[in-house]
Amino acid sequence: MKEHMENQIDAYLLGRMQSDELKEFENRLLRDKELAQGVETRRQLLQYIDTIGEAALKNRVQAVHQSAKKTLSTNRTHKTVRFLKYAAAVLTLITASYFLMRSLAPKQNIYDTYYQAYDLSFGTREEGSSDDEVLTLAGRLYSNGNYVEALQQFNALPDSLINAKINLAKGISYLESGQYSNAIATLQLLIDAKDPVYEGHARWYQAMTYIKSNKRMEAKILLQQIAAESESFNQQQAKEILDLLE
Amino acid sequence: MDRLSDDLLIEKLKSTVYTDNDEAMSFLYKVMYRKVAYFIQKNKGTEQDADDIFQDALIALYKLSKADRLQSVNNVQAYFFSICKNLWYKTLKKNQKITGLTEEHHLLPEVEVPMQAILSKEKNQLLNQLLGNLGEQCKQILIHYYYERLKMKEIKKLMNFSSEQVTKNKKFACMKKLKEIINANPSLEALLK
Repeated sequence: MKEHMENQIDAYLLGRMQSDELKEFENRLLRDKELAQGVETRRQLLQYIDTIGEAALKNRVQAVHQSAKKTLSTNRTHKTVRFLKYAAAVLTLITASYFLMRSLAPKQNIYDTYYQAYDLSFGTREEGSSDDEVLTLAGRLYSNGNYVEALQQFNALPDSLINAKINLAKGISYLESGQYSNAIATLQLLIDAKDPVYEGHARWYQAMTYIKSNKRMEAKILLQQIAAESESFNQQQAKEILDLLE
Repeated sequence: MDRLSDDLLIEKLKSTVYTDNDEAMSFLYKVMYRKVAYFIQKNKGTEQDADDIFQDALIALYKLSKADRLQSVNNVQAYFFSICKNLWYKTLKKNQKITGLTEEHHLLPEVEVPMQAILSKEKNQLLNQLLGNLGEQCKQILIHYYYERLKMKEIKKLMNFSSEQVTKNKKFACMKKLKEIINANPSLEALLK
C-alpha cells in the first residue's frame, strides 16, 4: 500500500478528517474494495498498537508503583527508625535518671541521716550594747531555725565582733538557707585560720554542704581528713559516710 | 514532592511528557495509597488487591485526563478514591464475594475500567519478547502516534527528531516493521486479538 493511501486511512481511523474529506473517503470505500480491505487491515493493526500501548502504560504505572511503594516503605522505615531513636533517647534518659537518682539518693539519705545543725548559744548580758542585742537576737533566731533572719542579724554585726563561733553559725545558716557557696566560703575562714575550737566543725559542715550540693569528690576529701584526724569532730560519722559513699 | 493542586495534578496527568505523568502518579501514591489499601483490606481484600486496584485506577484516571473528562471534577483525590472503590466493588462482584451492590456503589462514578484491555503479566512478558525486534524507538513512535494520538509535531519534539518529515518517515518504516513481525508470528496475532 502506498504511503499516501496509508496516511489517508490513518486520518480516517484516527478521526482526523474534515467533513468534506470524510464524506468523499466514505464514498470511495463503498466503491473501492482494495481500499476497504486496506482499512480493515489497518484497523486491526491499530488494535494491536492499542494493546501494545496499554501494555506500555501498564509497565509505566508498574514502574511508578514500585518506586512509590519503595518510598512509602522507606518513609515508614524512617518513621520507625525515628521512633526507635526517640524511644532509645527516652529510655537512655530514664535509665540515666534512674542511676542518677540512685546515686543521689544515698547522698540525700546521708545528709538527712547525719546532718544536724550545731547547737550554738549566744548568751545575753543584762546591760549589753546594741550590737550585743543584735547578736542575742541572731542567736535566738539561729536556735529557733530561722536561719535567713539569723543571717540578716549576723551580717549586721560589725566585723570587729565577728569571731569563729559567729562564723560557724553563719556557715551553718548559709547551708540551711541553700546558699552553698557562701556556706563553703564562710566555713573556709575557720579552716584557713586553723581555729582550735571550730576548725573540725567547719570541715564537717563543709563536707555536709558538699554532700547537700551533690559534690561527691569534695565531700570525700573532707571526710577523709576528718576520719584521719584523731578525736576530730564527728570522726566516726565521717568514717561511716565514707563507707556508704564507696 | 510538593503538594499538587487539582489543576496542576490534571495538567501533569495530561502532559505528553512522561516524567510529568509519573510525578502526578507518584503524588497520588503518596497521598492516596494508604487510604485505598485500608479500604480494600477492610473489605475482604489483600495488599496485592490494593496494589492492582490502585494501578488500574491510575490508568483510568490517566485516560480520563487525556480525554479532558476531569475538568468538571471538584476534588480529584476524592474522585480517584471513588474510582478505586468502584473498581473494587466490581472485582468483588466478579469474584462473587458480594451478592449485591451497595447503595453507595450506585453513587460512584462510572469509568472505563481498563482491566479487559490490560494484559496479564505473562502475556505482557511474551508480547515484550516478540516486540523486542521492533525496537524501543519504533514502539514509542507508534504508541505516541496511534495510541496517544499525538501529532507529528509533538512526537518530533518529544523524540528529538530533526524534522516532521523525518518523524513521518520513521513512523511509516516502523509500521511496516510491525506488520512484518506480526505476519511472521501467528502466535502474536492470536495474543493481540
